[in-house]
Amino acid sequence: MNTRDNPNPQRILVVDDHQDICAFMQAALEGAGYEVQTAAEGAQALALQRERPAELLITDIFMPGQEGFETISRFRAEFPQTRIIVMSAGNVPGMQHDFLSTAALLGVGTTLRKPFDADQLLDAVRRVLPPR
Amino acid sequence: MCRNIKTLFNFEPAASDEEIYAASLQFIRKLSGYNKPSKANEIPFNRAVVQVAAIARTLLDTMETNAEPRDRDVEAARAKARAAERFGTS
Repeated sequence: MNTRDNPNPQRILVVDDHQDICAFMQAALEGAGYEVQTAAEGAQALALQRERPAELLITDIFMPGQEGFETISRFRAEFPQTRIIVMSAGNVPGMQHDFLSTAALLGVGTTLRKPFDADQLLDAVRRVLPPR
Repeated sequence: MCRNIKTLFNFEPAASDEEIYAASLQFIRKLSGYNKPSKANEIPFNRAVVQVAAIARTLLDTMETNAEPRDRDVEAARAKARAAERFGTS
């Protein structure tokens, strides 16, 4: 089911400064019936969320502008009902674990390690955002 | 430790996220005095790394120059030559 067939789709906000990643995720999620908005960094994501709240935030950690941890903290404070998935490439030796565990300390239970495919993305989304 | 932080501006191809991450990590390690933070300090430590990296990315993306882009191989050879002169290695 895509968004054209679903009159009341669940909304997801994807935040990543890499446009190609946003485009891939938007296509995969919309193909599965979700409504998707994208932002290049956290401040833009917060502005979009204030206009029309999404049920799920999927955010990168390292972005120019407002980075991922700051974005998570602000969403936690302002939109406590919004579920959050963190994605990270983690290509710096020894740092992947630390960044993901820091996300867990900030209350994020689900992470996606880049690169991931559409099935892995949709599995993660369905775990944290059960269908209505 | 901070000697490991290298110039990242004006390279072709441009500095990757990973290079900026690595430099930011070295910087925060130096400032904090910890190679790896304790559990109690994990949030502020890692948050600082990411925030420094985010600012550095913005800096590198917005600075301008008329100079020719740097070549990584040339810069690496220069660094090796400087090290040889400094430490007497070949």
